[in-house]
Amino acid sequence: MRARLVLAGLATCIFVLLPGSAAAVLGRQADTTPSLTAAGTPPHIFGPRVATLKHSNPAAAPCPLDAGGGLFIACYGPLELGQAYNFPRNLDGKGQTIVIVDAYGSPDIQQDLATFDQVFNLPAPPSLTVINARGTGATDGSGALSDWQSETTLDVEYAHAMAPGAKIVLDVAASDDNDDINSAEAQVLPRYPGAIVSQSFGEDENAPDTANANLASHLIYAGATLIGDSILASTGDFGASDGNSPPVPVAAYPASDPLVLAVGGTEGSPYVQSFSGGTILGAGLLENNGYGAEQVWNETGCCAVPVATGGAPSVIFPRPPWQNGFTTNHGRTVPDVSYNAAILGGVVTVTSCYTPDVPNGCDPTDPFFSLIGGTSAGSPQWAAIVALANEARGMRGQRGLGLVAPALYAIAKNPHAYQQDFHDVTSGNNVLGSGNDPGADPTQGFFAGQGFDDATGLGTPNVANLVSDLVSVKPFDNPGLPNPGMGGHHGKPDHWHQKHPHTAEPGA
Amino acid sequence: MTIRVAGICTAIVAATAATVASAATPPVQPIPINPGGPNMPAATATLSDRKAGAKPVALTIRVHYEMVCGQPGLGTAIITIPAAATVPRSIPASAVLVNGKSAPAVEVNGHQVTVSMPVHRGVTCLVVGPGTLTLLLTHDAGLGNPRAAGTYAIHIRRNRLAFTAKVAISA
Repeated sequence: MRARLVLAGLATCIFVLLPGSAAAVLGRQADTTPSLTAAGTPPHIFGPRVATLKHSNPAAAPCPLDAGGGLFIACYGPLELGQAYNFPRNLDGKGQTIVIVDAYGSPDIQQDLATFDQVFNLPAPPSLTVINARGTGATDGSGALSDWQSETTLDVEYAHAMAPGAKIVLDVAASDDNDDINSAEAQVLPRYPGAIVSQSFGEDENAPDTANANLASHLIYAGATLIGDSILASTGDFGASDGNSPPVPVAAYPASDPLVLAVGGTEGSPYVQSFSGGTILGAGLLENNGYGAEQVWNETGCCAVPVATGGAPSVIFPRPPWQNGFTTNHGRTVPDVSYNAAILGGVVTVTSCYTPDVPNGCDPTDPFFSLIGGTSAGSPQWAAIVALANEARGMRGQRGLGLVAPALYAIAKNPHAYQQDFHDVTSGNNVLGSGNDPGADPTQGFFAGQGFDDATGLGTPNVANLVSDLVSVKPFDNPGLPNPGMGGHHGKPDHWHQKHPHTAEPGA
Repeated sequence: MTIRVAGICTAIVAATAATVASAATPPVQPIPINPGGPNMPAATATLSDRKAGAKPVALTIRVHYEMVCGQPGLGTAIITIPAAATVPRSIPASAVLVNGKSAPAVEVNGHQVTVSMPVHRGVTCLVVGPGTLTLLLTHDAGLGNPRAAGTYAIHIRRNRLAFTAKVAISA
């Protein structure tokens, strides 16, 4: 049962419905009320204080959001995501460790997670260990702690939410410089054999001056894989081209590393739905307390700039053997899998710092709900899925999966298993700014299609079914293969076929 | 539980969204969904000196909207200064700070100041959530307050999103 909290009369803003002259909006206000911070009250589509909500169902998210005028915004909490992706109720990640790698961290994460658990009726994790890694003195970091606070909050809360029995380790890099992130992983990963490592960050794999850092990172992953770790990363938020101009597809690192499970993004389908009470945006993922439908994540209406899932063939790493039969791209193709990344239709986090760079924007005693999206949401939640699988494997006396991708592709080669374990996302594209327009320029991105595709990989999970099959998969025994060929592969990726990807059907 | 929000902008969006509800890939109008948090305006503007006719004055504008890892994103911020205020014919880029760093470029057209957004390089987190863009037009920009006391509107457009902030000028 859903209660209703009415925060009426809050919004005042101006929408630019069509491009027009800025002069048209110039105006002097005759308001006699002195104010330095006027402009009316913003549209609080999100941001209620946790303390103001009286949950009739403590586990349910405060969704959908009523934006007034018959407009609603879809959003999801742990319960709803568990329903949509069919998370098993008999597993919680017990005995597993999820390592979250972030820069700068969040000073309030312990308290925010406790509040999040209270709100969503979740148990506390067995442990939340925050490790502030030593820095390298690197100077290229953004220095923007506030930028990473939302990231840290999302990663920790949703890795925990979807595998609440797993231990959480927050590995905090001193900055978001490549060297500091590598240093943080080098310090922490060897201490957690068999852990699942989530990385919700990235950079163009061929960005200037990153070759050495990427090689160092790859060696860290190789070492971690040898001790049984599973490593994941998100594929990026600016479409196939990563926002570059000209918009040529490029994969992001670390997602493009073949030792990493690359997680792309989806949104619900249809994105806009009408019903008797109005219109809802970002819906479609959850229907009747179960899975609805998805398309490629490609939003244009949420933000000042368009966003869409990253995904493209690597020009650095050759295609790993487990992708044979799924793509004809010469390069390692990302993403491997996908997960909901919508903003309108995003996840609900609890955070003390709603706008940390604004005076009085943080108050650990009075946290807010926040609506969060991006491919960042997928990596920690897929990490949770791996934790559930490893838990189930442990019950059967099997060791953890370690390198995950080969196991997933092995399952997907069986058409029946693929159908049972994955939601094949077949519509949309990751051409930045297209909003999933089917007429988008195919040289700027990739279209979803039947089976594996360059926009969503294998698709999104039916977790209970997938975990059931992952229990009996033999772990990949030689993480040293394939030779990553750092810098040795310069073949042209086959993105010229993206409109109708030359991808094999599962079982091919 | 449903959180209700009312206001003129959402009504416009609702009407717009309804017209496209049946499309397979409908265009959706921009919605600044996480502007500033509860009890915070979506945009604020502060002056270093509120006195009428003061010159030069520094103007700080903050707007809150959805960002990837707190980065403002590419494009421009178009600031429309009240007609009664003084705006020089040109403003050096070094006189305008975007989140604390010099703007890549600044153009002036009458009372409209267009600030280019910086390109973010390096590793970025991939969370899309609430962020703040701070634009500081320093004293070196040469802005001057209106000569008459009152409350004036400053309009800011970030690509498809638009915001309004007000400043009060005292006698």
